[in-house]
Amino acid sequence: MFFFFPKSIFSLSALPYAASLKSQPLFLSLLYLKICLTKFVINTSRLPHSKSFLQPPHHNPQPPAAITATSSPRRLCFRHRRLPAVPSSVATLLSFPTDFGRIMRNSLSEKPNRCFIGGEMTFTNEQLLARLQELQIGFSQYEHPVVLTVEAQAKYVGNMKGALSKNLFLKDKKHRYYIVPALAGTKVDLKVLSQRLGLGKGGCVTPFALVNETARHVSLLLDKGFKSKECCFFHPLSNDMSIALNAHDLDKFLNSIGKTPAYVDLEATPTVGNDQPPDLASLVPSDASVSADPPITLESSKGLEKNHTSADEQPVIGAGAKPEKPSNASTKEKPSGAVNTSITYADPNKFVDEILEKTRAIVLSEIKEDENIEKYLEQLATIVSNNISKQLGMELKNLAIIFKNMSYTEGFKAGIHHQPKRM
Amino acid sequence: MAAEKNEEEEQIVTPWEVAAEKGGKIDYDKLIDKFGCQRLDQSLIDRVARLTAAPPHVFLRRGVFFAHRDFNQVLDAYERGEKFYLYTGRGPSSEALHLGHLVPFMFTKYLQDAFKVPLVIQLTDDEKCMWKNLTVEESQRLARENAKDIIACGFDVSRTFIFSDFDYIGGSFYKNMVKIAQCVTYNKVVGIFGFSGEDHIGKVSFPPIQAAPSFPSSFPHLFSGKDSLRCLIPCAIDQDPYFRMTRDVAPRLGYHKPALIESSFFPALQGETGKMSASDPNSAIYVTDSAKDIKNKINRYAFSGGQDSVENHRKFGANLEVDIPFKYLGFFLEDDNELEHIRTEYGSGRMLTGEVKKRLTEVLTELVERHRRARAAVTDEMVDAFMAIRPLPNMFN
Repeated sequence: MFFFFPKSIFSLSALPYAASLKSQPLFLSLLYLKICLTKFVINTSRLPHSKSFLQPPHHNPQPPAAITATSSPRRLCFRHRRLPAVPSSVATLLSFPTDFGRIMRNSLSEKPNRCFIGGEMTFTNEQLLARLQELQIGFSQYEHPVVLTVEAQAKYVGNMKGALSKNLFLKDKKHRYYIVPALAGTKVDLKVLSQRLGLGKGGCVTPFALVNETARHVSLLLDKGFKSKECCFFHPLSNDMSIALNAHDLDKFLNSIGKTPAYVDLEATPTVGNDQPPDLASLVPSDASVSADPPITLESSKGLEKNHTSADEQPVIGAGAKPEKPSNASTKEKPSGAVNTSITYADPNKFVDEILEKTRAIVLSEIKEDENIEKYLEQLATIVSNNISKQLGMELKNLAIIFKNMSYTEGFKAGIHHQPKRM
Repeated sequence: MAAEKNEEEEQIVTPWEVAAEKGGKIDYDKLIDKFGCQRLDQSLIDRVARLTAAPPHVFLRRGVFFAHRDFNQVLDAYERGEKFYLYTGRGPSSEALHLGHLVPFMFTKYLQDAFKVPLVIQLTDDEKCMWKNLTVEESQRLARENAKDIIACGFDVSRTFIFSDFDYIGGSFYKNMVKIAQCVTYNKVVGIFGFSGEDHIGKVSFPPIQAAPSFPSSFPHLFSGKDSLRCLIPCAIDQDPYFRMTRDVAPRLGYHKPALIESSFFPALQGETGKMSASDPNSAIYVTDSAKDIKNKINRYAFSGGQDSVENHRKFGANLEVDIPFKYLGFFLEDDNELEHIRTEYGSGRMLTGEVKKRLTEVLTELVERHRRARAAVTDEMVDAFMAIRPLPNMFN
């Protein structure tokens, strides 16, 4: 079989998200990628150290290749609940607010059609299942409504025998990707894992994504816990279905596509130091080509949310899975911060910064709205930009009137203290 | 009208007291009949939307501003190109403003922006001094403090003149006061306002003070030469008596009768028994309340129209007539569709009171937050600028 992979993540990322699985099946694979990405596994309580990834580099004791905690714009962050992927166009908005409308319109005008995104094709769910059958890999299949989280999947298949899997998708600073399927119950410490690999942070997906050509440079690190279970649940290429199969059969599949599964004890925390090199370093993809930068740059909005990264779109070509990190819930809190003193309003620069700040907050919170996305699939751009103009319009008008009053007041004060010309 | 014999069972609506009939709510239809004003119907609202080329304000859409006098005439004149000016005011009796106080100002700001007309705001510190027995200095101080909250509503300084009675009365304003006073007999004023022989003469001579700003010649620095300029007065319906008197007097002085656009009362948190009271902190959401306070007040004190148990609620739905959170959402929730959705879901019992309260908390918190931020930006110099007797060259642009 011959597969293309998406060249332009721009359009990929701009696709509407989860819900339309019921529509064009061939479309699904693209969607599944997004969906899988959003299957956030990590319960933040299980990753006490995950936050450390978001700290500046000096927090990380072991900086091999300077890939550990990074302040690069491509940081990813884990969430403990599902989040839709944020289109890279949003990131653009953040850096170039004026281009927002144009970009949104462009991104959404490319209607996907038989999952040709930018002219490429990927594996579909049906094709995957057919492949499994060809390989005589036994599995049981369960359909259920679209799920985006392990908890949701558990609702539908949890009562059947089979361990649930969660998938971590990790990307390091050098654009290399790792898919780490683990048992839902395994505690995975990303910091430790990255150290063991000798690098950085992550995302999520399904091990079956490796079937795509685009994933050829992705390393797979399977939880050794899978081996001990009789069978485990994974998503095939769509998240409205779960298939249960034995780890052995999974290996068969992986071998068939030319991947060597590496089973790792994800809970082990060996110390990695000068004497002990990262034990999983061999699993780091060596010939991974650096994914070409998408036409849309993503700059994380500086100083937007102090403790989390903002929308970080990687127009991923590598894994066919996008390490998209939507902005986090704290965007909802307006960063009102300190009470605005009159100085803010008298100073045009601060005034404009405040405007941009509000723009970002609203855009991000709008994009995060799942209901918007599901209901208004085709008209996402219009709806979002309308809502944004409405809300933002109000906010900005309020700001502008304060600014005007402030300026007038200053002029007035100067006027009343004006000394007549000395003749 | 107000507080006469044989009307113990009727509702009482005066500038100083508002009380519903026993155990009921204010009957606005009766009030309109009694006062003789007109309902603001949908055609007028559509006309406003058309003339201003903008969607009508929430308060118009939801029927908060529901009555008027001669508003259609003002709109006719506006269509012909004749502008008007806005006049509203506040009696600064306390420092703490609650949301009910902001309602007329929010609406007036909308009118100012939509029609691009100037505005005068009267702070009746003398009235509060007389009625509430405050000292002159205290009432003047309160007037300035209230002015800051009013400015925070977002008025445009290049189109707005705020004045306090103690500072401004004199000159042309006083001349108009005298002319008005000459046209109103003592008996009439007693009849309108219910003064008794025991009330001091300050009270009796106050009504012309509230009437004078309706005439453009009271503001020579703004409207000199424009004696035919019309005036539109957004206010709560309990102020109607003052302006009935003014409208009676206007033709005799050669001015247009001021037009009125009147709002219903903002219900107290505990229910629709009357106006909010500044003395009971839990009857209202104040603009100084923190997000936590708002949440607490709504959760604990907001009168709910939901049934007493979840089963009953799912069966019968909520009583939207008396439900305060829903009413408040009617005032402040911008999105008509969302409100409709809540109306059907909550009314049928599918949505619970808690959700409605939560949504209300969000909406109010945002409102109060915005107001607080704007308030923090208001300095004393800004108040001075708004209150300065100065020309407003671009007030009609």
